[in-house]
Amino acid sequence: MNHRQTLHLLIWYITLNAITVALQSCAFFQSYDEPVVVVDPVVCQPLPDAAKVTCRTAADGLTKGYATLAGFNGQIKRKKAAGIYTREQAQALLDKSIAARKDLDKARDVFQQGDYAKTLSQTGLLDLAIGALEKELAKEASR
Amino acid sequence: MSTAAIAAGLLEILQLLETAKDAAPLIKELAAKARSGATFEEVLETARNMAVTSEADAQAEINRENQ
Repeated sequence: MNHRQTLHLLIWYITLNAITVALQSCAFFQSYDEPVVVVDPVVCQPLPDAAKVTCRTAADGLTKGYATLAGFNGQIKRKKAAGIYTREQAQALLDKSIAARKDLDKARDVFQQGDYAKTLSQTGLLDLAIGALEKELAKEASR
Repeated sequence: MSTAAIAAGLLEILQLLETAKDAAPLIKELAAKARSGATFEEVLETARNMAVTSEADAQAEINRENQ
């Protein structure tokens, strides 16, 4: 079997796995739509209704950001235990995850000081950082 | 697009789905806490604790073989 055939087989394998996981995960993605802001955050309460929407969105982003990072860390732990990641790979990924959490802590501090609009832009930037971390997790797992 | 690039893209999708799967029960737990009447600040603190605890768990697993 040549290199190209091996790659094709690999793609089919990954595609089949992706479809399987996608089917299982539809419900999991829906959980991101679940509201975690039921009682208005203290900083949102005095705001007019239009601004409250933005404030709640920022609060929702912060909360789900922490949950997503906890999900990453669970994967790092599991994949290290399974031997998919070496100690060095797992440590490098965990360091990046901790750095992202510390950035989220800063965004939380800004939010608690009442600057919810800035928080929203910071959590938006964090989404990009989390996306980059996703790519790194995939890259390390495929080595 | 090269075959290798397609494979890399599919792996990323797979990774995204796996993360959603891992985060889903945590978000559900936070949503349930929010619905139960907890303040937002309590829910946020719980979410942060989940992240910090999972960091410690992952670090313990990483250190395990060195003991």
